[in-house]
Amino acid sequence: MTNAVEVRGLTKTYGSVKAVDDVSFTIGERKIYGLLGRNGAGKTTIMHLITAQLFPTKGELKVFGEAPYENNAVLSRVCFIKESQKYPDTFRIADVLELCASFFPNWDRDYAYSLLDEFRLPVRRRVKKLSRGMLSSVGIIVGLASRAPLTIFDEPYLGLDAVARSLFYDRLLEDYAEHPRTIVLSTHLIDEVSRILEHVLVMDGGRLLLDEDADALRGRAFTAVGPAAAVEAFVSGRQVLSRESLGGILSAVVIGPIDAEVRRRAEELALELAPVSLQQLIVHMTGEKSGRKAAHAQ
Amino acid sequence: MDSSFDDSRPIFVQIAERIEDDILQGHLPEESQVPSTNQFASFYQINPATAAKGVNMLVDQGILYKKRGIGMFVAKGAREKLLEKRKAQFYTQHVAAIVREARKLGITARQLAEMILKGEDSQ
Amino acid sequence: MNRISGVIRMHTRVVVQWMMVPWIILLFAFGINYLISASVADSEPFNSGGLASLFVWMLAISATALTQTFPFALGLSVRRTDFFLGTAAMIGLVSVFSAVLLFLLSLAESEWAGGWGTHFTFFTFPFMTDLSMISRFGIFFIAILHCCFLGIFLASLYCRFGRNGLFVFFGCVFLALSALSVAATTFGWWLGIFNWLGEHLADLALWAALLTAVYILASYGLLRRSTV
Repeated sequence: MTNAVEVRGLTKTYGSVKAVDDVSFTIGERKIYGLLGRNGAGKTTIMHLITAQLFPTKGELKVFGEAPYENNAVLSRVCFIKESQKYPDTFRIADVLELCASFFPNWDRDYAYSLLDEFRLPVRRRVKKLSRGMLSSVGIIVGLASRAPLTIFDEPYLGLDAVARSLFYDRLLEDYAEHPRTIVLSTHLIDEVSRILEHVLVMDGGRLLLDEDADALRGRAFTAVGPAAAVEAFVSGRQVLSRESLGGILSAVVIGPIDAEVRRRAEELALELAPVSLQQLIVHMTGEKSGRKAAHAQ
Repeated sequence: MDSSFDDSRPIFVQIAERIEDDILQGHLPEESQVPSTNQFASFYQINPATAAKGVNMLVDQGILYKKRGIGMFVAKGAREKLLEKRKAQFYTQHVAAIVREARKLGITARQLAEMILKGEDSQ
Repeated sequence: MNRISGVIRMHTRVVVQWMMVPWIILLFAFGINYLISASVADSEPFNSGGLASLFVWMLAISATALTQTFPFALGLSVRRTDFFLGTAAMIGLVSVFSAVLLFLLSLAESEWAGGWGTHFTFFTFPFMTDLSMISRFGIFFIAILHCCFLGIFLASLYCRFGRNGLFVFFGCVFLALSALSVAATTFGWWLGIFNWLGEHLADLALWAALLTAVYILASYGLLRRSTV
């Protein structure tokens, strides 16, 4: 089975800035991946590199086993829905959808139009005149109806309300179940999306921080809160991701699962324990001194 | 449907637990069909592979079995198996914590026993 | 092939702009010329060169079409090569169509209607009556093709190097032309240049064809390295 994407030592520099810094990973077939991280972490750059819309400075990049640049065998199997997609001025939604049939071999017109209804989009309206949420919906519809073997969504729900987002997850999971393919979701709304993800790639400052199974990251860390001295006693010998204090109370994020031993010790010291969600974990890891923390978290 | 999952444990474990709860409470009798992994995925808005992992874990434990071409069914004797498992876990998961908390508050073992009996009566 | 025809279809959505606007502008220019020549009686036949407006607009529209559709096409996973071929094909079609129209109008002016009742010409130039029909059509075709691809070239420059690239390019061209102009004035070349032009107007078509080929190759090269 060829991997959808194989990247080795990928680097993209702009002058002295390393937007992507020596990144290596593999994206396998028929899985839902999350490409997570803060704004400016390099996620969008990586996605542009994968789809040959940007050129790497260094490193190897293969999509479906081949170089993607000017390669129809690869490009016709990729659909990249970007946050900043530009449409020609006079184009209406209907025009966009009709054109998609020429470029996506698996395009399902009926499915696209049924999604149009569900997202309540005005077919005849010009794309320029759409609200931010409607524009995102158009992107989602194109991405889903393209049924491309590699579908990449970059911040697909800017401007979408919670109902529309939930609709997106529903349709995504439904169509993914019926037509399995590789989907990459890039977002900073991590918790909402974390249950859909099978595998997670976290980027920070151009580097790859985490490349792991989503489930394995649950329970990777927990918070211990209590009087400062007690917390310090608790965390001695453990890896600490971050500390926050308020008055005499200290809150520490600790690497490790909440097992029976941890619970017992916390009770002894009268500390409160709480799980750390994927979003919080990433937030803590991509704060200051991220490099050191990342090493601890793996 | 947007039910919340515990952040500290893998989702597939929690899916398995929900199925177990349904079996224990009688919502899923033996030999009845369990929803498909895609149905679980869509209902809880989770990845189908995660749902599949949870279901397969129960298959491995003999709680569920697969009828080819049809789907997953609750195995005979599943409920008994689960009752035993949960009873064995009952002490470590629930009782130990109560005992510790009682000790912390200075409640004696006898007072604790009385509380339990009172609780039984009022349920 | 499907993808190239898809690009052509992409452009046909914009074709109303491509085709209608320049001709409407042309109609106005023609109308103004007619009015002026009708009100100024008894003078020599003249050609104000109003036809140039068509060519300028074709240039502008070609450039806009490219800058509008290039990011969109890349977003639909289209190869730069396919995009270029589709765009070039569209331009070819539009050029043929426009050239045929101009040719017919020019024929109407010089052969059939005997002018428009006044002594100005709009669609023909003095040297054209000496040429064959095919040559006349060819000149129109090359002229339109040249302007369209010049527009494409400038737009490709913009796609590759952005606004700064355009500034640098025009800056260099301006400098070069200024230098030439100064030299021509200093060395008295102007008379010779005008004479040569007057005699070799038809040859300009060949030069234009050559330039067009240069624009085509350069645009392709620029687009291949462009990013969005």
